[in-house]
Parts: sequence; C-alpha cells; structure tokens
Amino acid sequence: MLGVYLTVSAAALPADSGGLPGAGFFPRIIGVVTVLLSSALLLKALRGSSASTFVLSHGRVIGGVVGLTFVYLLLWGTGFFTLRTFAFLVLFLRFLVQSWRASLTVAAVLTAAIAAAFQYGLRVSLE
Amino acid sequence: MTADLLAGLTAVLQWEVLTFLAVGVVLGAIFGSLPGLTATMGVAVLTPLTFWVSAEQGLAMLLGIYCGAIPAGGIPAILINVPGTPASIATSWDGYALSKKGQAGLALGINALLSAVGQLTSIFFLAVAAFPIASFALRFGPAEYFGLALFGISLMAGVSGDRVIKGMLAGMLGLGIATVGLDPMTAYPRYTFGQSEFLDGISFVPVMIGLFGLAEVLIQISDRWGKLDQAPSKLGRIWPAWMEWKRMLPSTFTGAGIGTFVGAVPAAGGDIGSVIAWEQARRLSRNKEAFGKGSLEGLAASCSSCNGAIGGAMTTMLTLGIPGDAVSAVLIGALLIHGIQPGPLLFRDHRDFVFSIVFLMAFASMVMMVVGLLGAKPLARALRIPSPWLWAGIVMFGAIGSYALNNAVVDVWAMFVAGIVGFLLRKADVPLGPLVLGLILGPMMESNLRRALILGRGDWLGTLTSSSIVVFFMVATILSLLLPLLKKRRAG
Amino acid sequence: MLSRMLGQGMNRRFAVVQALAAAILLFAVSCRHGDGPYPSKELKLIVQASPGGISDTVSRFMGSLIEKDLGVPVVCENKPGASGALAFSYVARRAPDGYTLGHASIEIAVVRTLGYADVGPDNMGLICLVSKTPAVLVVREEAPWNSFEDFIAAARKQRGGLILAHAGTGSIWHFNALLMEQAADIRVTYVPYGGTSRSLASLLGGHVDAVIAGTGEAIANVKAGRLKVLAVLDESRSQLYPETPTSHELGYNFGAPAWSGFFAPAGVPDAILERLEKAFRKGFASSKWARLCRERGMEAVFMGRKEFREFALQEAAFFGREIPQLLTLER
Repeated sequence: MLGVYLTVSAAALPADSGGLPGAGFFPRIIGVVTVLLSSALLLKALRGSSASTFVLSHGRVIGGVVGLTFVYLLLWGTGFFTLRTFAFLVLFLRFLVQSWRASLTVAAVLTAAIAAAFQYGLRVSLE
Repeated sequence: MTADLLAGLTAVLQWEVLTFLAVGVVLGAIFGSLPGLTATMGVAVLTPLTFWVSAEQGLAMLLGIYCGAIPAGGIPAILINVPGTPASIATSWDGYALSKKGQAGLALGINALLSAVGQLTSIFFLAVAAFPIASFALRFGPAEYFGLALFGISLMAGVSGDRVIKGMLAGMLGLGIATVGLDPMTAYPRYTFGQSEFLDGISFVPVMIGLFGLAEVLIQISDRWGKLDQAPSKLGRIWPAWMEWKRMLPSTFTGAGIGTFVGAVPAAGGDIGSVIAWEQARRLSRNKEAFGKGSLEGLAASCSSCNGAIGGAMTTMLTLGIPGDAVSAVLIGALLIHGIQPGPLLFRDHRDFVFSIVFLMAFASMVMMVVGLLGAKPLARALRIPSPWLWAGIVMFGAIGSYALNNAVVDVWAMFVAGIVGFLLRKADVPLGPLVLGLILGPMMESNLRRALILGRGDWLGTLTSSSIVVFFMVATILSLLLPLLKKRRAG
Repeated sequence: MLSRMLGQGMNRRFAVVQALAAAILLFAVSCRHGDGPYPSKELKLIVQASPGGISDTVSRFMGSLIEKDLGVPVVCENKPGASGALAFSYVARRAPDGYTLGHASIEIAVVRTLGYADVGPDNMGLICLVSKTPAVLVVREEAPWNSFEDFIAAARKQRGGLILAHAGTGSIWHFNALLMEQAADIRVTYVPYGGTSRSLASLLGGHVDAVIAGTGEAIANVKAGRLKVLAVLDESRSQLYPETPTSHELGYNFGAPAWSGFFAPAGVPDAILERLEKAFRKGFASSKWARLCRERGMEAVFMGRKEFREFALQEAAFFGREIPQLLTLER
C-alpha cells in the first residue's frame, strides 16, 4: 500500500512552471506532501505502534461480485440492455444464494424500475 | 411591501400551484433518495416540462424538487450509509451510526425536522437580508475562495477521527484525482493519458457513488456475509425528546447559518457547507468525542447546513443572476424560459414574484418535512428486505445513475474503480471523508490560488493578506491545524 | 402459455413474475424495429453541453419545435466534455441514417485546432444555423472608462495593467479577448474562470477590471445599472444594446460571435438533410423562437445547409489559422 503511494507521488512531478505557478505546481506539492505523509506512516508502522490491520474476509464472495459487475460493465453498449440487466441481476442474486424465485422476482422488478425511471422517465438511451 | 407580500402569497395559494409543488416535492424525494439520481438531474430533466405551464406552476414544481431532494438525500445516508446526494455525505457520518444503534427512527425524524429548520432559516435570510448576503458573497474574489478552500482542507485532520495520517493521505489522493484533466488556468492537459474523455477530469458524482455506494455494498458483504439472518435493526421512536432538542439547538443554528453563507458563495454548495458546519459544530460542542459515532448534534449540524445552502444559493441566484450551486444554475435557465430575468432588477420590479418564490420554498420545505416524518416508518421497514436485494439495487442504480449523469461510459468505470478503491481504503481503516474534501476543494483551491496570484502579480504575502476575509480564513486555518496539537500536548 | 401456467396451479406470484420477465423480453426484442419513410421513429439530438445552459436550451427548444413538423419525438441527450469534442465525435461516428443529430456550437470549428478530437465541419453533415451570439466588453458602472476608446487608451498606457476575466482558456470569449489585443495592439492580463457567470461575479465584486461575455449573459446587471457595455464585438449592432457601438464601427475589425446550429453525421443522404432543414426552418420562423432569442440575447439568424457549410468551413479555417498565433501572443 505504501509502495503504491510512493510510486504515485514520484510520478506526480512532470509538467511545467512559469514565473507564476504553472500546471505542474499543484501536482508537485501534492506529490511532496504524499511522500512525507507516507514516510511518516511507514515510520509509525516500523515502530510497530499501529500494526496494519488489513483483513479481507469473504474474499471469494467479494471477488465474485466485483467480477460479475466488471463483466456487466464490459458489455455496456452492446445492445439488449433490458435483457442483459435482467440476466446480470439474476446471476448477482443467485450468486448471493437467493432462491431462484426470489432472484427472478427481484431482478424483474428492478429491471422494470430501472427501465421505467431511466429509459422512460429520464429518456436516457441505454443499449 | 405588505401589498407585494400579499400579492406574492395569493399567486402561490392556488390549488394548481400547490399541486405542482407537492408533485415536485415527491419527485424530489425520489431523486434525492436514490443514490444514482441527484437534485441537479431532477431539476434539469423536468425543466422542459415546465415550458408549457405558468411560471408559478413550473417554478413550484422545480423548487419542490430542489427542496425535496436535499432532505431526502439524507434518508439513504442514514439507513444504509449511502448518501443520496453529495450534500448528504456528512449526514451519513452520524446518521448511519445512530441507525446501527437502533435509533434509525430518531435519525430520520431529526433529518426531516432539522432539514426543514435549515431551509426555513435560510429562506428567512433570503426574505429579509438578500442584498447584504449577496454583496458579502460578491466580496469573495480568488484570494477569498482560496482561503475558504484552504480552511476546508485544513479540516481534513478533524474529519479523520483518530487516524490523522491515513486521513491526510486519503485527502492527498482526493486532491490528486482532482488534478486530472485540463489545467483550470492554462488548459494544459494533465494525467489525461491522451484520452479526450479525461480532459474535463473525473466526474465527482460517479466517484461519490462508487466510494459510498459500491464500496458500502462490498464492505457489508465482507462484514456480514454468513450473518445475514440477524434480527433487523430497531426503528425506535421518531420524535426527539425535549432534552435532545435543547442539545441540538446550538449546532442546528450554527449549521443553518454556515450553510446559508457557504451556499450563497457562488460555486460552493451544500456539500462543502455541511462538512464545514459539521466540523465547526464538533469544535463548539461539549461532547466532541461523540461526533461521527452517532452524535445528535453532528447530525443536526449536517442536516441543517446542507439544507441551509438551498436558501443561500437561491439568494445569490435571485439577487445577482449568478448561480450559487449546480441546481440554481439550472434553475436560472428555467426562469429565463419563463421570461424572468434573475438579477438586481427582479427585486425592484417584481418584488411580488420574489415573495412568491419565498413562499413556494417555505411551503415546499414544510411539505417535505411532513413527507419525511410520515415516510420514516415505512422506509425503515422497507429495509428489512434481504440485504442481497438491496445490494443489487444499489449496484444497479449506481451504475446507471453514473451513466445518466453525462451519458458517458467512462463515468461508469470511474464509479466502479472508485468503489473498489473505496472498499480497500476502508478495509485498511482509512477514512473517506478527507478524500471527498480533497476532491471537492482541490480544484477550487488550486484555480483560485493561481487566479489570486495573477491578480496580485505573483506577490504571495500581499495576496494572502489582501482582505479581512482572507486573513480571517488564514488565521482560522492555522488555528484549526495548531489547536489539536496544542491540546494534545496539554493533555499528554 | 401464461394462462396454462396459471391453470397448472402454479404459485400466482411466480406467474406474475414470469409474465413480467416475458414482457421485458418482448419489449427488448420489439425495440429493434422501425423502417418506412423518413422519419419513422424518434430522433436523438446530442447536446455538447450540460443541462440548463444556452446550448441545451436552444436544442431542447428547437427539438420541441421540429417535433411537430416531423411528427416523431425528438429526444435530447447531453454529452458534455472536452469543449464538446466528445459529443461531436460521438455523433460523427453514428450511422448516417438521420436519426442521430447533434447541436453544432462554434466549438465544431475549434476542437480540431485545440487537439481535442479529429472532427470539424468537413466531416459532418451540417443542417442549418439558427442563431448567433456576439461578445460584449463589459466593465463596472463606476469604472473610469466610458467608451471602448477610453478602455483601449488605458490599456495602452499600462501594458498588462488591466485585468480581464473570461469564461476559460480556449473558450470563444477568450479568443475574442485575444483578437481584441491583436486588433488594438494592447496587452491585458487574463484571469480565466470556469464559466461566464463566475467571471461576471468577480467583475461585480470588483476583483477584475473587465469581462468579455455573451450579449445575453450580461444583460441583467447592465439593465440594473451595475455594469456598462463598452462595445459589442461584431459587425452589426445588437438588438439588446442598440445604443452601443460595435468594434467594426469603431474601426477595429475583429469580433467572433458564438453561434448555434445543428448537424448530422457525414454521409446522410441529401434528401434527409433537406427534410431536416425544412423542419428547422419552420421552427425558426415561429414566434416562440423569436421570443427565446430576444430573452436570451441571441440574434436569430438562419442559414441553410449549403450556406452553413460554407460559413462553418470558413470559421474553421479562420480559427485554425488564428488560434496558434493568438496563443503565442498571450505568452
């Protein structure tokens, strides 16, 4: 986590600067402060005062939900919006161990609500 | 004066107008309470519909949406920790904590009541002191904006709780994300990776939906998976007790006041106002520790301030013709279509119309209060549906709402990435409040500092002491950074 | 089929759900149809700016006017971003069937030069132009300059001494300011804001000396006697400020008004463009349009597809030539 912060802040230093602060001025300040803060956090961690408490429980379920959503978003704009959404919701709910009946019901109601609100209410074109 | 007041009132007291108002409030409540839909969107989408009705009727509906959506945004913030609009981010801090303690009813009740108090206070200011407020708002030049933004940023430590360094890092991440896009001054592209989708930066609302919507779903799965059958949380009573009223009173009016002024300043709205008000209420409170853990005072400050911003924004809009926030920018367009030009002349030539607006807003906030109180029970009960259903709904509305904002797929991806990042950060015990502050205030701070330096011809010291307002903010910033340190030293 | 399911004694609620699902399926399928004489289904009109602004108002208003003539709904969709480049290239990539149109703001002639996207009037099917909005130079009422000449003289005396705010670097009002510098041989210091309303607020608050904005944007505060207009930066006088001289009258030949028009993807058959032009022309002639133009400070000007094409190409050539030169001028 800290390593990521450090690389991000190191990369944050391009762009120009004229007599007055230019485009790169602000990113540079942010980069420097980030480096300072991360080293402070690192120091603290090394001293062992605040052990990193990163516990990921139920990682598989979360991975599944994220993956499913990712696939759904990848298919954005490929047509058959209603059908795709319905299928996604059924899979999503089934994955979270809802019964078939509940999954189908909720997916249908939600799809209908989305279609009503966005496609007909707001006239957003979803495909 | 009295004649104008009466004329304004009679123009509003017609059943068609009041019907439009009520419809607007209900629509606003829907827009506000669904995380993918915002008040701005609601007003923008319904503006064309008002072309075909009278100015009073159209305005009744649009103001109803505005006054309904902001309080409604607090409802999902309280019940499921997902703010319905950006303005209700601070509401979720104490509201959701209360909800977890089994006092969801009380939190919803306070949200309904004090949102109305916030709106009515600011509307009262609009009616009696529109011009002083507006001319104060005009004194905000670049240096003053920079001061306000810097002060807001200095609150990062305060809203981080006891994880100051992590909070500050999150804030820097927010500031960093905010630099993506064309540089606000020279239009030099930064971190756009050659993609024209990124030229305008990363949209704030999808990021917010991701950080608080999708991330919340993932957090809940992670924390509660396998324990889903737990008894649903209690609703509790709705109406606050007398002692609670008394305790909330100071922070309510601090909130309403701060909200009104921040709302009046162009380009600063309820999202900034409520965070500042929450933090100030915390400083002034005797129970600082309770803030963020279900403090009634904190909830009171955030509810009243994000709603106070409505009256403030409307003040600047009506007196100067300059929008105080995103919603009032859309409202100007709607007014112009009805042949009404907001600006100084409106108050001289159409004073009755100004009073009509004041009455419409006052009625709308009262209608919304009733809707909020009546809706508290059924809404809280609706949450007893199985969590996966709710999660599916949040993910779906979040994704489509992000898209609908600008019809841009890149916003949906921003939402998705923000959701995962938000989840990981919260798992690493990093507070998200500072990140949001950085996102909102970053562009304001940067562009106004640079504007101020152009005006001050590069003289830093001169620029940062150029007016009493700037000096005030600078001193407040330094104090807000130093005071906690001093206190800690004294304590330790 | 559904009734048989019911008859088999299945759970009632389940059947309702299945019916709903079937309905959604049917609907999804039925969405892909629509042929016949043009136009046979709804038109989409892509707006390059956010809701509430002038481009959005023009599009929604014109959309509702042409709806009547075409007999099909016209749905506006906002795709803001990158000075409109996102919306322009989106429309340009759509099928050239005449069912996706775009609002053509002046930026169609600018975004290629700015390097935001490779689109311009030459790869669009332009339909018509409906309005123009000239720029005005405004100062506070109590400012010491009472005419454009006063302002220019003051700016000459102290090069870079006067501070001028505009709606943002790369905006059309910024280019007008640069053109003014070039034509009058002056230098001013720029403060870019995110939008005209913010730049006007800073002028009202006394933080800057002057603002270049659209005619309609300044009118409320001009009428109220808080701001005064020194010049309209155009060839002919504005209906909103009949008393105010134009830059051309004063002998400075510059001024680039913003404009509004409509376009379709390149390759749309000319017959369809003609049909659309006819619809827009009808909408343009209505009194509602004249009223909107008056209220929002636009000049109602109509150009058909051929004339508009010529004009837009000219503008693109002008900005393609001038912008690089103007931007070096600022440094």
